[in-house]
Amino acid sequence: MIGFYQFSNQVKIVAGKDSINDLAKEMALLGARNILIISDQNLQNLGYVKKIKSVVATNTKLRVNAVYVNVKRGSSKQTIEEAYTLFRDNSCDSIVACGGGSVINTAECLKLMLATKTKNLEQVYGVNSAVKLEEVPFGAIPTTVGGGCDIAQIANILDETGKSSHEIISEVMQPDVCILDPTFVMSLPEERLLLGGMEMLFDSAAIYLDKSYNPISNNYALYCIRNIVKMMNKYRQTGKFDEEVCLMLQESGVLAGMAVTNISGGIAHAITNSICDCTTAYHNLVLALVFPKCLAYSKDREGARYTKLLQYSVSHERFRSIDSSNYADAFIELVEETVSIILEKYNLPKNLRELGVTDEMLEQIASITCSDSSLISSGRWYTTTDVCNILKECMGDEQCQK
Amino acid sequence: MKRRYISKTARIKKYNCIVQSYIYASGVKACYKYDSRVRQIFDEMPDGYDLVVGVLEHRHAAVITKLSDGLHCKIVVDYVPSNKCIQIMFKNMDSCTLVLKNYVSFFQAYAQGRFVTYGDNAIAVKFIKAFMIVQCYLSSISKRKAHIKDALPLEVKPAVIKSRVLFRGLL
Repeated sequence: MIGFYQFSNQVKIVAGKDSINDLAKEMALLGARNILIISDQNLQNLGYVKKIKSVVATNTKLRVNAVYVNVKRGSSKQTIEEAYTLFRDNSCDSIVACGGGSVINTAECLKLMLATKTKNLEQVYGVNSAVKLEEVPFGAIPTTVGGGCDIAQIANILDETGKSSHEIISEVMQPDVCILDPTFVMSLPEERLLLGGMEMLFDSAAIYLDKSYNPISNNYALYCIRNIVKMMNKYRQTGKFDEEVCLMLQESGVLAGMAVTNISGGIAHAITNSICDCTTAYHNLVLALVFPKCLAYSKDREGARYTKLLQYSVSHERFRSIDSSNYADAFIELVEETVSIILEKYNLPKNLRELGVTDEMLEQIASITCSDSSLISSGRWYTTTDVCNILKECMGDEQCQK
Repeated sequence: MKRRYISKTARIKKYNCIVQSYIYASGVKACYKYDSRVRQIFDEMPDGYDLVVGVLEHRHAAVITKLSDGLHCKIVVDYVPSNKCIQIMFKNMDSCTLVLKNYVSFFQAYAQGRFVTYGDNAIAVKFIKAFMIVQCYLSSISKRKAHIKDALPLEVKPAVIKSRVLFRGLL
């Protein structure tokens, strides 16, 4: 049925330099009184938790009742349950999460449990099945840049074994307010910021190419690509990630996040998620290695749609100079070139083998990929053989390709 | 007690949904026998695992239970969920009718948010794939091509599954 789609986003964005100072006002407007801060040890050492506490203290109605900083990489069921106990024991009524994907995932799941009045996380597993019974004010302060984990409605939770993850999709878990303060991401290493930018670019391209696209997500995705290109040009001029460039990155993250949360990312995301489940690699680095190969793999079927992506990624002059029959190839080349420049410059792994993926792991990764929900909305039937073929391309050695 | 008024059209739609859900459940049962991909998905599940298909507002739902001797399907009123079940519940009767009459594929319906799922999403995705295979068997060639861009290879002739649903599933 063409023309039927759903698009939801209910997050208030407060962006700009020192926008953190608006946190207290925004939380008070949401009806918060006793706050639980969720973060991780690193960010506490960097003084971010202290900063949030001082901002909260500016409003006499608000109080920080508890701080939870034990979130480790990849939020787990146990972590969420610990945060839940702390929330209840300290009579908190609202959450402020400051951190990257794992911290915000933990806070989102905690909100989901509280809003649905559930004590067991397993009861809220599912896709859009949670029913909101209670308001839990939730403010998010992202400290990483990427595919919009701060505003996404998707959370991946590691099980007790820590080897497989459970995906929860629900609008109920979204933060109510998201503070985009560039000072919170400026401490990130340059390569993480660049890879974050690349991740958003690939997210947007994947959304645009997805079969289940909708006009709103498409426009967010295309605008995000334009924003990233602008940001890259600015970075080339200044040679550093200043506040302006960081804010542009964060804005792009929100745009990509809004789009990706309503559409899943297709084969590249499915493979990336599976590899991240099996290794300890960063999501954006894996996506950078996998995405160009997925583009090349889908060229025969979707090559025509690469034109628009190319148009948004290069200047008008350069676009006009490319022969119309080579648009798809030019786009793939552009992506490969950009990725290889970044990987080369920061001496990062250039293929999956260098990342620690072995031939023995390919079958397992392919099997996890095939049960990823991102593949369902792509509208294609991918078999483990298809996925293995793409993975072999990404392994980066001729012997494996044979 | 005041009885809730349900229009005749809504009642027909409701029965239609129940019958179609049951036909699909029978389709899954038939495919379990003839299609290795569907068999593999269900064989990975422990015995006693339930797959429930229905409409959110309805009390009736088709339940496929995996037991040691194969799959069993039935219509259940007021299903009580356990931790060994996946529920695929359509948001309304129209969405259910569109999907079960093969106008919209299961993949499309998932992407369009026409149904919600309860339970582990990784397992739900596998069941949605199983339903997609069943849909390919039960729909016409033109609809099958429209549903899946790359033609999904069928392991047996669709007529085998269709006849099994008609003569063994319903009777």
